[in-house]
Amino acid sequence: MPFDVIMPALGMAQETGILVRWLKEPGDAVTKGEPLIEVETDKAVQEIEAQASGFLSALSAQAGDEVPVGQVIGLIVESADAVTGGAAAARAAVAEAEAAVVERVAEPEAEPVTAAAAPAPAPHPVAEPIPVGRLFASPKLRRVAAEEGLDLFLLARAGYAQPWHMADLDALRALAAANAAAPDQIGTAKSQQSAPLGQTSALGHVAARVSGAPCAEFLDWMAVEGKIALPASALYASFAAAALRAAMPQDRIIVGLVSLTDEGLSALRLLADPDHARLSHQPGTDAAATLILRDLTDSPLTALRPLASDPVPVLTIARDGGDLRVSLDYPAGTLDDAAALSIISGLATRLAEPLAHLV
Amino acid sequence: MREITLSKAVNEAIAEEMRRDPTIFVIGEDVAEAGTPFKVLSGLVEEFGTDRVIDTPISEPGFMGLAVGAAMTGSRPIVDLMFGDFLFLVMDQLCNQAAKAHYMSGGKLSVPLVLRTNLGATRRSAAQHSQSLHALVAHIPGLKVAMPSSAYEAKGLMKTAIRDNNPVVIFEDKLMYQDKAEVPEEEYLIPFGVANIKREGTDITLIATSSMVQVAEKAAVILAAEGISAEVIDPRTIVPLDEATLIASVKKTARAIVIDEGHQSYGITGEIASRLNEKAFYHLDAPVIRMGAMDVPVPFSPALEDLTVPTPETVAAMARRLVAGEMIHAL
Amino acid sequence: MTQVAEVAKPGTNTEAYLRMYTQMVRIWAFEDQANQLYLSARMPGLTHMYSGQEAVAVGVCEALEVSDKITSTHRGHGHCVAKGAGFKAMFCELLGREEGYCRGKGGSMHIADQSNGNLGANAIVGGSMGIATGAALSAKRQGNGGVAVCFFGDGATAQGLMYEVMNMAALWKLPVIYACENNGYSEYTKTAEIAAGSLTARAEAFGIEAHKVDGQDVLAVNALTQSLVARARKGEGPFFIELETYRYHGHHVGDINRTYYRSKEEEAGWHADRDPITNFGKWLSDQGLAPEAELAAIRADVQAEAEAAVAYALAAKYPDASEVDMHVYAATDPATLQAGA
Repeated sequence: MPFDVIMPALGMAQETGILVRWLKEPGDAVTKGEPLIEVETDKAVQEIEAQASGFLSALSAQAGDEVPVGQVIGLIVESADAVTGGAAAARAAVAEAEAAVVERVAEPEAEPVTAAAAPAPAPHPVAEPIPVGRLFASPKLRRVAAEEGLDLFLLARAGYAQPWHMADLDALRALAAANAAAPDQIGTAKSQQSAPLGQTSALGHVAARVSGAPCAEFLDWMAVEGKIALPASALYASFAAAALRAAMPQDRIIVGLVSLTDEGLSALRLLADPDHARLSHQPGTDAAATLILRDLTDSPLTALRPLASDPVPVLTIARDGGDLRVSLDYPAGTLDDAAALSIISGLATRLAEPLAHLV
Repeated sequence: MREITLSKAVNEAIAEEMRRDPTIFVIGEDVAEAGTPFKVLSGLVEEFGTDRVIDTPISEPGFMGLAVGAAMTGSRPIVDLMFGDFLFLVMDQLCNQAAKAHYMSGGKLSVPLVLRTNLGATRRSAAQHSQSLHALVAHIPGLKVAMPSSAYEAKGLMKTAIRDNNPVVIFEDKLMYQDKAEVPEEEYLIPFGVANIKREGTDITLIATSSMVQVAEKAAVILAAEGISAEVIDPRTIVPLDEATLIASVKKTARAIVIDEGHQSYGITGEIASRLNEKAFYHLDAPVIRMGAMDVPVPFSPALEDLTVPTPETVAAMARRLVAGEMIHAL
Repeated sequence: MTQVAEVAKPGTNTEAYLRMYTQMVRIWAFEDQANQLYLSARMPGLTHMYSGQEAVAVGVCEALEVSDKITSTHRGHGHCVAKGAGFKAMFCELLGREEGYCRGKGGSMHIADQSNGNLGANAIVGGSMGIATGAALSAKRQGNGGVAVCFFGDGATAQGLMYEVMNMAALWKLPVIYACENNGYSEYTKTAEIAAGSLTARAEAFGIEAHKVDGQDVLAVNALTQSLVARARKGEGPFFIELETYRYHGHHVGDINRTYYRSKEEEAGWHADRDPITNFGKWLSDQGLAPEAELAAIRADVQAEAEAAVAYALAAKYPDASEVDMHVYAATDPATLQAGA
């Protein structure tokens, strides 16, 4: 199945990397371990090796692009047939990636996730290989595409080098037809497609990182001294609800908790006002979630973008080295940016001083 | 149909008009017996006399000013400016006086004169006798600017220029005086503001002025052999400019190069390219490219001078790149 | 050779004299009103006062026919009035109104009155010299006996164009009179500091007959001009006249504090001793041709007419916005652009 080529995290506090250049062309055979891309951080330029063998395909970042760490920038596909230009294959490749989240997590990775110097951490099953920002096309192609209702982004996703001209119109039409025949399963991608070019997507996103030590110590202390084995997710749910309530006071906050562990994705547990309950006894409910909380801390994942366009904000908490990474994805209209910032910082503050916030 | 030289075509036009209208006279340096150094006006003084073919001292501002005053008072002078480079000498009388008199007087004064001069490099005449300065006068409201590209255009445009009631500057390419073209015996005039599609095509539009029209046509032949179909358009007058024809062509081909012998920067190529950008933007599959003379004073040495102007090869090369979708300039 | 003109004989041309007097008063009244319009901030732009030089314009123009052409300078109101222009259309032009001679598009510095043969004031110093010479060329070619007068100041003798056109005028014996209004100053600098040698000698170098005359003496100016015009019509031109005169105001209406280049004593002296209107009026009444009372009445009438014209112009409408891009090009009858036309 297709393997995601991602922008690697090469340092502790690195948010983005600059793709200096691809060392291979789309369609080239790639062998695991051979240099595939050059990446520049504020420290240096490094060669990054391919993490799989196959054929390079579906490039969605170009030389010179600054790419967020963890974002997919290309695919390594199994056969030359599946390389760029095959619309169905490209789309299928991405859909498979999406469905294969759990399997990929289980893939053996030699490097421990906490190793700071890990050259290439576990691949992130990011569902949408999207280059946000400008798409370069001639005025005529843009106009004709707009008139025919064709999304230029399809050319980007399929790896056609920019800028595009009228000569690319036939390919665009083919991609659009294939896309229409098998509707897109990537919710976020769709929402990004519908956003005007050059503007940010319709999904808001804020993220933060905080040391995982305070919570770990607290939970240890509760286990040893308090003789209560609290699941970390209970702590997180409580804090999430509290942060939300502080930012947007409301009567009921229902946290929909999903955990990712070795056994896979757990079922959705709906917790009513977990911040008002005792950590050890958080009542369930049938009410619809105000907020989804995805707890990845028992998994090797350090980040996970939303998989489907949930109608409510989604908080994700994951480990990254000794830190906890929290991110909040919220559809337009559910939160304003100020509230989102308030929630995420409220959560981070609580995670940093758990005892102070549990009185 | 008979073929005559551009020089003969201009001579015929002026002679015919002078026979038709007694208020016309020619004035300039060496226009009478010498018929100008280029011999274009030979024979006129014999037919019309020194009253109507007037040799002047080397006083460009002086005889330009005289022509303005004469034009305001019932005459129709044709001013002969020996080299286009001398335009700088007559700018006040041409641009401050002639161009503005009609407007400044609220329409009461008119200046029906023709300033006949030339352009064109590659004659080894160096920097002060090789300039193509039509952009300077095209920039001034109140003047009209004609650029014949062959003997046929030269005759038809000259007749219209003489009959037009405004100051008209007409530029002939000094290297073309002996070039022949088909010119009807019967009288004809070429209207201002009407471009001529010299060659139809579908892949790219080549808009060219004066002798660059021949350069563009040769480039089109080169391109045709490679399967690229180029449309060649001669605007004939740049003021007034037949925008509609240029825009319609670019809408058809989606690509254009503007080729002119003025300097590439701040000139005709930029103006026409800019209009195409404004008015045909959503039809462009490639940027409109300017190809003018290099932004250098014209060098004397033949090894250098010929590098400074567009040629059929350089035009074809650019067209090739545009059609291939190559990025001419970085993203 | 230079000559001092003879003074015309008294008692022969009373009507003509009164006309000259009236014309000078008209110029004086017009400039007075224009100056006040500027000082009261009701006139856009700048203008250049002719006050003090009335005898030059009137003396010359009274020797011309309506069909003879003149070209003027930036200091052009005097020439315009002297060649027959009316107050209302002139004030309308200075105020940029539609009824102005140029539909408001020329203003003070480009005022032209084509129907009276005034080919226009010119903002370029010396800029109209070629035009006047060309008008003379037309007259000669048309054989209509017309004459062109080119007014210019002493400052314009520094422009190369003057020498080019005088050269050609002399070569071709054109019927043009170059009238140099030497008011002693080229903008803010004394003439002596900007013009080397003699002004008349410049013309004589081309073989052009040159004359000097007291520009404040309207009769002297007129007599000289009449004789030269008559000869020019017969093909004896061109001619050059240097008229010694004085402008009371500064270079332009805003040039008010000017003692740094011109003393108040000097100005007062010219006002007191050399005023053309005062002196001509005195001459007329001394000669018994017109009593002071009649002259006073003329002054009062003209002043009233000027005031009324100003009021009219201030109330007149501006040109419509749609006129901004009219008249860039003259129309050409399309029928004339056809073969066989």
